Amino acid sequence: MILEALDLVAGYGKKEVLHGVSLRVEAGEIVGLIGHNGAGKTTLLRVLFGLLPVQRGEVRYAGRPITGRRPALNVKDGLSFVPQGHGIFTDLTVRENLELGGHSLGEADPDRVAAIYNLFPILMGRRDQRAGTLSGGQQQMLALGLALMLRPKLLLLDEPSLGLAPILVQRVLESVVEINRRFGTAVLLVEQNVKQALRIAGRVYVMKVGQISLEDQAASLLERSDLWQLF
Amino acid sequence: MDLFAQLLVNGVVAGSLYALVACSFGLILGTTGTFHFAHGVVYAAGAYGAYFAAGLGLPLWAAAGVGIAGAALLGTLIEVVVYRPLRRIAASPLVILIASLGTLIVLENAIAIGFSTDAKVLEGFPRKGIVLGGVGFTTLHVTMVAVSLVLFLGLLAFLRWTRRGKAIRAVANSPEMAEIVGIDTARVFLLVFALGSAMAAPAAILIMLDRGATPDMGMDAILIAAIAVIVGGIGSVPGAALGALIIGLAQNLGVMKIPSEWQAAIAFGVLLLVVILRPRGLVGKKLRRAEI
Repeated sequence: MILEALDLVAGYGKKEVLHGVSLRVEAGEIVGLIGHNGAGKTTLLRVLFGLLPVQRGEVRYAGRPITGRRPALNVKDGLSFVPQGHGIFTDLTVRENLELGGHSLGEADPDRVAAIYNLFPILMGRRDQRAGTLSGGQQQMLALGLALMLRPKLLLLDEPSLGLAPILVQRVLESVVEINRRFGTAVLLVEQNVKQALRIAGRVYVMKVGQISLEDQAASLLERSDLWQLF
Repeated sequence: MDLFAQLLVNGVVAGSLYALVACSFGLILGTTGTFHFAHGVVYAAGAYGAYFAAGLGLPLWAAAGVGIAGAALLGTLIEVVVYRPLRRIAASPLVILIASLGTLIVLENAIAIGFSTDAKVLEGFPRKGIVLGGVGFTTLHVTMVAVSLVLFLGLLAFLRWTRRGKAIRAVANSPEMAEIVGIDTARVFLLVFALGSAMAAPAAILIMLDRGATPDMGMDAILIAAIAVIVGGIGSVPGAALGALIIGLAQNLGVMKIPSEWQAAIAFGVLLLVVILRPRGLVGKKLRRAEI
């Protein structure tokens, strides 16, 4: 098991958002996390990554407790996070973004950079372009590339399709599958686009008002006629 | 015409020194979001550190080195002792600004207690007069422009080409994203305070060599720097330098029409004009709430 959350309680100040959330991610699998706006999905990812403090409960990564540990240390251990709304440095070039992606591992590894350009060839041609001037889809590819520079064992992805045209949603989610297949990276994917998420995930957790309301195989959920009533 | 050329040269000399303080102040503001008013006393401490070291018999270049190192140390200490604890308790920008102002006043008075309020002049610079096409200046003025240019270009190269420089730009662009990719933002803040403080000190040392310094020299310098940063655009080091140059030129060329005691009013006039016509500054990005 690569990640385990045990009875997590967390929130913003006095406002509790997560009321005892438990989940697990096995090495190399894609796990979906779906639910309505405000269900606490983004908060959960931020807590798992160490951006938000935990009030109660435990986070274990690769068998060791990492509850409340600084993101910089999590990143060194192969835990990466791509936040909502394109996790990139908009003022820096594509090349500089990728270099910074590998910052905590030392100098940028040219082989890794080449592998990312190979995965997203469009970025190669735009490597000296300021990232903020890329299209939405290209920015999302760069965000994935930036996270991949850290050679993650587990990628926490927060709504990678947000704000993208349907054709780009398909392309970005295909990239997630490709990353999983090519690098063996496990993925915990928060996605509003439920059907698309169910198509690429193995297992799925459904979140409702700060709690996990259901865990199931993605394929089984897809076949359920009452899918939309589960949220 | 001679008068215009003379004032132009004076403006470039003044603007180049303003640029050193503005770029260093702007670097700290743009990266950490801290309106570091105490930068004024760090600047003064650079001059007084050099004065103290020269008094111990050190040659001018070594005394300047001591002043610069002392300023860097003081700047990082202020970050660790004043700003970091305030950020930890999520103090508002206004509280941090007032704490900064308080630090400026306390340390400025400490310098006055240690060195008296009399103007102190640093000796030892081989100053020679030069007249070129009816315009007079000195080798010290040439040094001022050259030092500013070298430090400005050095800072730009550092930010653009080095790993640490890129980390500073990353934190300035998005502190949260920087944290997400594993950049230690606390360490970057320290680096920025050390770098910015070390960059401001030479300007104060050069002024002490030229016309002497008083403990309150930092207040005027920081006001001009803040105006230059806002005129140029918060978050842009070249913008800060441009803003400083414009203010230096406006203040000196303005003397052709307005008495010189109104130079401060000219600087604020430039600020008002830019704030009304282009609030983001000449080359800056859109302002974020946390930055002011």
